[in-house]
Amino acid sequence: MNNVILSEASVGTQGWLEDLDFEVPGLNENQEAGQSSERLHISIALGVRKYPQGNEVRFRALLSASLLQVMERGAEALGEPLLPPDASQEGYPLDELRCRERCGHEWSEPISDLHQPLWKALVEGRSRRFGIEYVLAVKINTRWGVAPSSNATPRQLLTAFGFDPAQYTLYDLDSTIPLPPDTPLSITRGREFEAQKDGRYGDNSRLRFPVRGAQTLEQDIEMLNRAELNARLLTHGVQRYVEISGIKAPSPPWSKTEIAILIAVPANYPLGGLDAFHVEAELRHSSGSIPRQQQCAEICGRNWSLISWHYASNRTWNPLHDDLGSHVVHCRGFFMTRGVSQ
Amino acid sequence: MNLRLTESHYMHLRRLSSPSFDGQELYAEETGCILLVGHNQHPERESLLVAEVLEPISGELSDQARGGLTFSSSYLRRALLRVRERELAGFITVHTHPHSDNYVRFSKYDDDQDPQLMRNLYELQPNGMFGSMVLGKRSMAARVWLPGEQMNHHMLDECVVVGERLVYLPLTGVPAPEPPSASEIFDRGTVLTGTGALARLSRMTVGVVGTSGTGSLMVELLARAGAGELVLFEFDLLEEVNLNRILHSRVQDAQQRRNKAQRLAEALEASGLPTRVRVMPIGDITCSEAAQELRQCEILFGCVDRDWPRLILSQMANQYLLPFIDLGTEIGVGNGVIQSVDSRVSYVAPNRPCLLCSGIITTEQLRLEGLEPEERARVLAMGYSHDVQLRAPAVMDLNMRAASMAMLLTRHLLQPFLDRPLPTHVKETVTNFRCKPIRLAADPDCLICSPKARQGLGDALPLSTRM
Repeated sequence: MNNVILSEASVGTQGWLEDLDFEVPGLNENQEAGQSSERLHISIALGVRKYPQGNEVRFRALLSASLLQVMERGAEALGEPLLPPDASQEGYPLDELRCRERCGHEWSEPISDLHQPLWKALVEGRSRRFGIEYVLAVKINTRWGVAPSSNATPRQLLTAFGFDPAQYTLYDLDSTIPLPPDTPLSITRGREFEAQKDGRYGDNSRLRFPVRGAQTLEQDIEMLNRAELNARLLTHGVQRYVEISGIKAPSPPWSKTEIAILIAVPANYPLGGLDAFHVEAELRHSSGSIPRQQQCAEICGRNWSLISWHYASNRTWNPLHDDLGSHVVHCRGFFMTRGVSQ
Repeated sequence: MNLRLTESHYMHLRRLSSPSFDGQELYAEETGCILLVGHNQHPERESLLVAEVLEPISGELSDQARGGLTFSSSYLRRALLRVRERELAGFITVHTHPHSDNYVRFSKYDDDQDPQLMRNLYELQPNGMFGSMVLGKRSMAARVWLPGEQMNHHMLDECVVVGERLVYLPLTGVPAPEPPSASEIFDRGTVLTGTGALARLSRMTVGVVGTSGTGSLMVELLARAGAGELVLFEFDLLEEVNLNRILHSRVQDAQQRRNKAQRLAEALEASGLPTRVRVMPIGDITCSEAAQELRQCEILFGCVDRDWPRLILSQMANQYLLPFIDLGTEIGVGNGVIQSVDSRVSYVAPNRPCLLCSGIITTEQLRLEGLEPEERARVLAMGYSHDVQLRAPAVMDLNMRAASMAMLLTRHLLQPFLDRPLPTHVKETVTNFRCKPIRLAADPDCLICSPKARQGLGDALPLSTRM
């Protein structure tokens, strides 16, 4: 690399400090380790403009300064701070630094190594004229990023920042009004937004509740079991029954505090409704006979007594409202009659 | 960590969740709400405090017909902005599992989804505190999420409902134990058998502020009832004039000018009772450091004769959702004649009148107590003010009546036995043998006890301690 030395006679005493087109004399690649490192503490004049068309403004920086520090000083001189505001502490700014050709008007690609010292950049052939490309930086929650365009929609903005628009909604800072997802925004540099996620909860599985009146018996049984009732489907021939154990009953008058009942289910359930029920045959009532008891039958290997317990004529089975669960509640009423309360 | 909430907030929560549990339909839908919380960051007894129940409005909950529940972003947003506006710690989402009764737990779907929401909330409010709760019909479980890459959580221990009684409900998804019979609260063997409300008292940390005339008696009663731990706040030293009314005080203690609480602690230690006693190094709760230590207690007793500490205890009760029982006695003497011999016990808790709006403490007395001695002397010398507490007569037999009533009220809080609601004050006038309950309505604009003033704010609001 060039060892740039300028004679004092040609530029006057220290003239290279102020003239942006002069190269800095006496620099070489090994400067840091060399004898004349005190020279790195010299402040030299530099030029900066808003890339690409702004007017050039002069400022000064130490030769030892990093290009990031040069960029910050340049932004200060231009009166427009870099974004994010504390970028130098956490990394690079989103804005970009470019350098104009020494002999020409073309601009370099954005400089990627901003930690490189200024003197080294000059040794490597960079000029003393810089340009800062201010990008459309915006902040969502704690993250800064570059908006895809100045009229991007909230949906586009969320996507660009890695938020799923199906789960997140965009808001202005401290606003409760959601920004419509597909209405273009007027995005300005530095604008801050907040992306709020929705909250999703659910029982053991995300069931889709069946249409009322069209649910299956199996679905009803599953829901009953979720409700901590012990229900199971029995089949006797082709007739289906649901056995429900653990029905709470007052004792006395009943001989047990937890009773099993059996409900016969018509094949056209739930449009064909439920009515009456069986109790386990060994159940006893303090009066000596179980009220409304009808005939006994052996069903699925066990003896059951049918109970004549029906819906009132003005409140018949309605498949839009009734199901296995509501029928169990109806059956419970039988055990609570005759002044017993629980 | 516990979650503390007022009785009215608990009832509100249960009322909002009732559609999931009250119906007889198999396909009861999930529902939910949001609890806005303050934070008690005491290093040993951290707790969350419910400051507000935020109800959903139309459209803010959805997907209920699919066996699930979605809190809309606008609902969560509303909660978050309310947290910022009131400078609260954060919030807890609450949802129901309609088919859970005595046992409830977060579903796998909850476990999958919650971290995503919590990560988002912590991104929006990095210093916040966020969690979730699931309700069964007779059970509940709650957890707080910790910010960080891993998004870990820890389960809360108990829900403490503070109001007309003290109720402890597990937050681990299991049913609350069956309450013992009311008679157990007076069972002389209950403490030893470890059941019932007295067993609860044996697990509680109780703060007693002031260990002089009424305070020393209160400490004794609490220890004999089996209180788990007593935290004593006292800055005064024993003098000979105290010997007529401070339990366990001895002539030698007065001669040595020992700290009143230290002597009590020593006597209880010697008794061999299981109660642990700690004396706070700074006993004056008008000092911020001492007042902060009150946060570790689950119930407070005020046994002081000054309005300023009573004010701070009233603030603690509302801000940290703590039950506070205040004791006072007064012997009025005028023209050489006894005019009154009174004892008083007041119960202060959230949604109940505080000592300021119920007239026990006055702003005039607070002003005097807030002045430095020289300035106070100048003010008193003007003749327009008088310090009502100066050298008031006091005797043990009268103090005992207040302490006894306070202990009975404490038993009632843990295991109700009274046949009518707790009054604001119970006042006994010995001169005519009358004991009367005084019921007052809280001032809705009171700066101490109005729900919008301090309720559940925890550490977000300073107490009125010394600058």
